[in-house]
Amino acid sequence: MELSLDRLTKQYRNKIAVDRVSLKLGEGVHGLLGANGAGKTTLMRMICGVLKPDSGTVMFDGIDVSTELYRSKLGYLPQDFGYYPDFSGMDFLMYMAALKGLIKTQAKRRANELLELVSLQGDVHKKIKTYSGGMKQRLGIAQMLLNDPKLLILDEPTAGLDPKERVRFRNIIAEIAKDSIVILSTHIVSDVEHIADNILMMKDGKMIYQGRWQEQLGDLEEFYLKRFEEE
Amino acid sequence: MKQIRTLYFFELKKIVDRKITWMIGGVIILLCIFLSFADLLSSSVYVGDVSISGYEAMKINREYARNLKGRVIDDTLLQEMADSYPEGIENEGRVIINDRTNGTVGVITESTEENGERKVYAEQLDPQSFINEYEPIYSFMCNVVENEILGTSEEELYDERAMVISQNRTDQMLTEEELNFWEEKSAQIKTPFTYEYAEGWGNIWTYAYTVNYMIFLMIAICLSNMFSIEHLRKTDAIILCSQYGKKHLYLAKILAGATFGVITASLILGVTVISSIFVYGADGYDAALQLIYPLSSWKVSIGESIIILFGVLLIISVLYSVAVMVLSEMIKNSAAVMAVPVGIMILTMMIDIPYQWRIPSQIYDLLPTNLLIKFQLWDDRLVSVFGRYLTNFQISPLIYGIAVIILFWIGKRKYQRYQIAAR
Repeated sequence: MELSLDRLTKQYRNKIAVDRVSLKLGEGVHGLLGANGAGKTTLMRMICGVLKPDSGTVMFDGIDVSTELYRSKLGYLPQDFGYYPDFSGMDFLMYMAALKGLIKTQAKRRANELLELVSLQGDVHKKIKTYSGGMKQRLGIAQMLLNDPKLLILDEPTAGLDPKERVRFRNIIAEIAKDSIVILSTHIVSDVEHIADNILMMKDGKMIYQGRWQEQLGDLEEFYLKRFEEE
Repeated sequence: MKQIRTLYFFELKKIVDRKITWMIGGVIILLCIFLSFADLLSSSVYVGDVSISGYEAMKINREYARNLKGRVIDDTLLQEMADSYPEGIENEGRVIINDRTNGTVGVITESTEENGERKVYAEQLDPQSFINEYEPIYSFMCNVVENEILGTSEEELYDERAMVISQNRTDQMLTEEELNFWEEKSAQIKTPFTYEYAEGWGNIWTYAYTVNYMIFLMIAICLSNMFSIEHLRKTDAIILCSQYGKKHLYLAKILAGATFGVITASLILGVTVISSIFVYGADGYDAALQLIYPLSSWKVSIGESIIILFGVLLIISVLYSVAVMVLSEMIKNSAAVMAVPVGIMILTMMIDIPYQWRIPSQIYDLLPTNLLIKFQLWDDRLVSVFGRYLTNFQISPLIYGIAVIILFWIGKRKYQRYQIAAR
């Protein structure tokens, strides 16, 4: 299982948002760190196929990002996750399941499993507009996992979650990452330091660091700040 | 296919769940019900101190019309009609009321309008007797003959009809081939006509223009956010990166919107028809169209013409729906999307291109906002397609169908190529 980015570039007018990023990522959690405006979201959108790069390619196991097959293996939780206020949690998951190619019985079973996983089983029939920020974020996590994705892209996924939910979320991700590729973007170092097998650091559209991270290497936050100062 | 079906029902749910759909739907349905009553409620007939409502007058007129059912409009009937009116009534410069929606009533002495209410004053007669029992025939003749109706013979009536139609065709600048086409059609229409009361069905053509605009308005309001809402609510990111979020969802959305358009059109026209039938009666479905619209050369019954109207309206509703949804994807702002149809509606209400500019005028009259109007029943301009001549109501569904396909393709291209850049 391999996600391959080859000289991926995106420019907005005078600003290069992503500058010739090349990566080969395998199974596990890949923590993408970077300050606001570093190009993390743009990179993730290109990996999800919702933003076309100016140049470069994105492939998952040799499958091009523009294909339905690629999207069938993808789970995406955007930074600003949108929802339908008049849908119930269950309606929303059933709708997303249809978009992800699940048949009705399969979708219902999977939706119930995931609602339990994200502790929303008691609120399935409530309209989403009545959900709190944290509940909406958990619903977003559930929709991402519907199709049992092999490539998960999470853009600032812990925003809106309380400390208990953050820990719970990290555990879920660590479990999923055993047989899939998870890219988790954040500017909060603690979100990734305990679960990320690999750390990616972006600054001004460039990948300034890529490598495995282990506790014996020291404090990730210090390392992160040092790298940014150096650059 | 199963996925498209599931997504289709979800998209319908999204439309139906919106409060504005029910609010605007309710208002428009009420307006359609009111269409049939409007004229009857806003008019009354005064005879000295006695007055009867337009509705009462219509009922009396309808009863007389039913009594005349099956009578051939020939010299015998025309003579009976002339004899029934007081002698010299037209020569005294007075006018017999000729308002079909109102039920025609006696001899007018004065007509005024106060505070938007029309009041017609007639000579003092018994309310039951001042509506002449041959008034329905008189009304029919008023649509053909301009002066001295009571002295007109059968031959003069049908000659006059042929002459008005011929003049009409000259005004419309018909070619020799078009004239030959209609000559053949006219020969198939049997004269003299056999009278039948058919106001309930015939009035639908009068309401068609308003109904068409109401459908356009309803579709514009309810479907203007079909695609734009996904961008506004930022659901586009999770949709477009899902397996069936591009091709299948686009089709499901378009199908759901088109279904909504078709249901809206059926409901609005259906309510209008039921309301008209309720007020005027269901008589005359099989009557010749010429009894209500004598200048038409269509060889169909009034009922059949309503079926044609319904069929074309359904195609128009699909066109409106697809056009509004494609605009929704292109403009990505529901208020701006609504402004486009409203602008078109206002523009087409204000502008009329005269027959002299044959091609622009014909193209303009084929616009979906302009087609469904009773005058189109005697618009004899044709369109030649591979040597075969088609009437406006034959060519328009083809044109609208092609327009739907083109719009579908443009929208699909735009939707599938959408990029989620910086917000």
